[in-house]
Amino acid sequence: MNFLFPLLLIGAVLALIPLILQIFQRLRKKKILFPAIFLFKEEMLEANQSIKLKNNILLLLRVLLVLLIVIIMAKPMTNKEFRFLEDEKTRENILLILLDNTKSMGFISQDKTLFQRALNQLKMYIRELPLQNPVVIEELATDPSYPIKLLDSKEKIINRLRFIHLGSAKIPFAKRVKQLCKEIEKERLLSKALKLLFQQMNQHKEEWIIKLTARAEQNGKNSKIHSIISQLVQHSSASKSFFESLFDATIKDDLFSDTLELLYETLKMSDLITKVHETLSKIDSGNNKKPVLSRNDQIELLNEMKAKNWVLKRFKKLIYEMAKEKNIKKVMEVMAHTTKERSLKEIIVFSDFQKSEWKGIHFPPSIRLTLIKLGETHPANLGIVKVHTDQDIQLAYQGGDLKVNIKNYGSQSADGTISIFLGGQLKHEKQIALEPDEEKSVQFNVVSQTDQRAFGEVRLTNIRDEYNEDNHHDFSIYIKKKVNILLLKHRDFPIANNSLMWSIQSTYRKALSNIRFHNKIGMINKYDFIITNRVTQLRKEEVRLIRSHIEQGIPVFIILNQRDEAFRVRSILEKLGLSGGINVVKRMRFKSRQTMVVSDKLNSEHDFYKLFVMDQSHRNREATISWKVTLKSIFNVRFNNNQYDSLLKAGRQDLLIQSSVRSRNIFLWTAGINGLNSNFMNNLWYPLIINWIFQEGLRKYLRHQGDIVPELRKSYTKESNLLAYSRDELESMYQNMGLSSLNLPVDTKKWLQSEVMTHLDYKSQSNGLLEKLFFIIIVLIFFLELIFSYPISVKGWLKKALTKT
Amino acid sequence: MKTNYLDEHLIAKLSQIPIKPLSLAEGLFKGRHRSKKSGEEVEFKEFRPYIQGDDLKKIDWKRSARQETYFVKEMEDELNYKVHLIIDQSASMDQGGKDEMSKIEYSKYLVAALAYLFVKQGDQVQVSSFSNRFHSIFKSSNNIQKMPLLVESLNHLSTQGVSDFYSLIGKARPLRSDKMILFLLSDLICDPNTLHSCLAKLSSPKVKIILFHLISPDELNFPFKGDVHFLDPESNNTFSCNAGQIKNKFKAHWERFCNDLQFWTQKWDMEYRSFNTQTHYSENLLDFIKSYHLKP
Repeated sequence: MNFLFPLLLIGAVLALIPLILQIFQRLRKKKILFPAIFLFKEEMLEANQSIKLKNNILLLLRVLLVLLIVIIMAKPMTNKEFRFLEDEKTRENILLILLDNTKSMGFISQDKTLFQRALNQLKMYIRELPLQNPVVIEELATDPSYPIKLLDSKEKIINRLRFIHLGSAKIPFAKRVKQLCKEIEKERLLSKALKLLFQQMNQHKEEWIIKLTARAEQNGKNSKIHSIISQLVQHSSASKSFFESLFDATIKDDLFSDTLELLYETLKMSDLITKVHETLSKIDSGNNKKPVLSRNDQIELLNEMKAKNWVLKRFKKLIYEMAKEKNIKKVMEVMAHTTKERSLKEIIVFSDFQKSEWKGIHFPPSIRLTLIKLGETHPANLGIVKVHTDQDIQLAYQGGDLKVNIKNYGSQSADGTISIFLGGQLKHEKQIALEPDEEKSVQFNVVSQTDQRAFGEVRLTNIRDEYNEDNHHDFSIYIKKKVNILLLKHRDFPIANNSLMWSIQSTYRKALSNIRFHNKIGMINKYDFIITNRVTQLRKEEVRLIRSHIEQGIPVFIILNQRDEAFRVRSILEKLGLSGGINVVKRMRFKSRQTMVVSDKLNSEHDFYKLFVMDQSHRNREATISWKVTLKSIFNVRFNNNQYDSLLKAGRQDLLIQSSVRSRNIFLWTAGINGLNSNFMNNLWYPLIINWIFQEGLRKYLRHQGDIVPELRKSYTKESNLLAYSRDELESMYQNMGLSSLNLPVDTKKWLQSEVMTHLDYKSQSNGLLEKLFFIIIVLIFFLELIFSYPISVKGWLKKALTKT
Repeated sequence: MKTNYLDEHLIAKLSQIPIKPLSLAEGLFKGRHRSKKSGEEVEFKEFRPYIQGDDLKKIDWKRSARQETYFVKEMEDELNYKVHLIIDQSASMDQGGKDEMSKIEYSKYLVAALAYLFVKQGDQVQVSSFSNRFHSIFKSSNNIQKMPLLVESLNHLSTQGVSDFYSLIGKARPLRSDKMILFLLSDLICDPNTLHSCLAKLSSPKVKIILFHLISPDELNFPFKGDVHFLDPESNNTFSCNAGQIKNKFKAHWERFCNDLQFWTQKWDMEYRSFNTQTHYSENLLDFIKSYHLKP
């Protein structure tokens, strides 16, 4: 057994602690003078022995416990695991070593470049490996060449390392890793295909000899081959394989290689390869629980294999190798070597893990991943941290703000240029210089004249000459010129269309050119927003329309009136298909009035916000200013200070607004104002509030629109929670949501990066099975320890419990 | 430091107890009191009404004639009885907790008080101890002046060895002894069979044996919990066990042991008293004396 952290085994000394404690306890144990034990000396002797036994067992358990914990911390790896192999002749596992030789590895730290250190470390690592299985070394900054080269001796690997130099990466790492996995999988599938091919040939030996004879006849060039093959039936015996028979019959006349060529031509004509393809797709698409490639990729690869005729090509290569051999043993060796099933089992990465080249990288879940980080300090490097394509930009008429956060990850000050491209055209360019660890946000106004989605790219050019995900960021904007709003309102709805328009415009920050309000349905089929304050008085067609809009994900804003009957609201909500998440009751007494309340307790899918509870204690300057601005904007009136004060005073009378958002597009709210009467102030306040919460609702809606993975949204707020997900869990979560792992959202990429970083502390991924086993043993020991140290008579305990109940 | 085992308060209490001569004369505290037994008596005791079965010779005809009912004239003899107080000084008598006296101390106080009581009544009191061997501590005397000597000797008495009840035979009472009272103060930690056979050998019609069984509260309640290490002082062996597990077993054994003792002592006409050492010795002693007084 090997250990990842053998130094931690020093901790085994801790196992002495229970021993010392026991001795100490024995030394200072208090003896009780009790002569009456003479009465049952024999039983005491028995008890004495049992307690001694118990103490010894306890001691043993405790020592074991400490040792196991130490072992588990030292991360044990059995030889087998270290070799990541099943020791079968026909199977081989490939170790893929990814060596980062991008320019950032040229950073000199402690008199050596990171790259030199990586090479040294890699050499040491390879010397330690009990190497029998093939290794693939891939340099990330060198152009890849396929098929991959399998190195099967240490000398070859060390030799190979001599020719690796620093360069610039042309392909993103994630893409490269995916391609590598695919190549290795391709090798595995090819070997399997050849194996199947040979199996078939052996099983239907006679059939193949006939086929070969027919082919030879057709060929007619070499009559000698024809005569030999026609006699092959006599040569062949049950104990010999097809190739052995072929070899025995032809080698005397030096015709083995010619025969093999004939075989190749025969195979080309036969349908055997198609059969092999079918068998392969059956075997390799369903059985493997954790394949190196995702199922789609696997199917794609199999199709590619079929289309490009790789099996036949490989067969040709193989018979070329076989034809060179003059000894049947050697021929069989070549065959065995080619048909070995080689699958990827471990990846070791040597890199500085600077910035985020590794962001969004997808390592197959079934392989062991070892990340080795080189260097603690960074060279001077700029990178795009985040491009904030504010969702507001979507409806912006004149374009929207694009915020680009740039950070200097390095240890020296650096400068670079940010370029913004929209539809392939350079729109903006800005110089930026940053101190080490400094982060800056640069804002651009992006304008597009299209009425469609426009795609853009942020590019950062700096001293680093290598492909880097940090230096590129894609974004898209969508310009929509006309907005149709269906407003189903009471006649006495106190809000003017203009003020609602203002709310929408201010929420979207840029003015929309054309907002059109519809008060009746029938004009158009699809609206961009639906706002209603007469839920209880909706007509059937209206309900149907709203429901279809809800289903399509179009935002629907429902304002509940205080005078509405709760049961009627409920029934109409049910008709709208909202009953699952929303419960409306009139129950809360707010300032001696019954208030319509949207219950937040019924359903977890129902996000609930108490938007606004205002009382006397809310008296801060900021709030005042914001209200002043709001008032001015809505009414387009400049109030004098006294007027403001009186308005604010009125507004600070108790006010309750609550809202709930179900799924993404339904926004439901209810407002309560104490002492609402017909005076000017309150009449002013009601539309104000409605506008205010309408804006809030819009904002929330937009925020929801921005979330790609709603389940993960909660976790975003707590990074630690997100980190708690394992890669597999996240993967399955994504798959459940119908997203492929490559379309990771920005935050998830960040997560993945941080996960990679946390992995850096370990030389290797933990050995799950062994650790689980140890953990179970530890729990068991703990349980036993409990039993031994606190003997409970189960019977008595049960009795007690029963009598108590 | 010397301890005065003669507690002044107890002495004062003991002096106040009015001892009924008649009830005691039956077999216990004889000394100054008169024996009820008839024989070659010399001194007149009392007249009592004739009861069927009385010897006709004893009827005092003169008195009977005067009173017109039959009276019997009772005579009595003045006897001096020997009292022998024996303390068990085996190692097991060291048992005792922080708050309570060890058994040996307890028995020393008891012996001192008893000795004082008897000497004061004019009885011959002898005090001895035993463990492996029998030791005389205080030679037979009825001189109250010698009480300090007894206290001195008690001070020198310490625990040692194993209690061997065989050592008592032949020493505790002389072969041709007079009638005597024998007090045995012990925890009776000994093989029950040995104990029974020794007690059987000690018993005799001429000797009234009173057994004071000293019991510590630990033995009564067995208050231990968890893993404990018990030390047997006589064999010096340590036994570790879980107290909770053996508690019931111990209680059963202990009960049987005490019941056996009561049975055998009753059989051999001995007086058996168990003294909890947690209770103050004066209380126990006074209870004992009072109970004797009240006996019919």
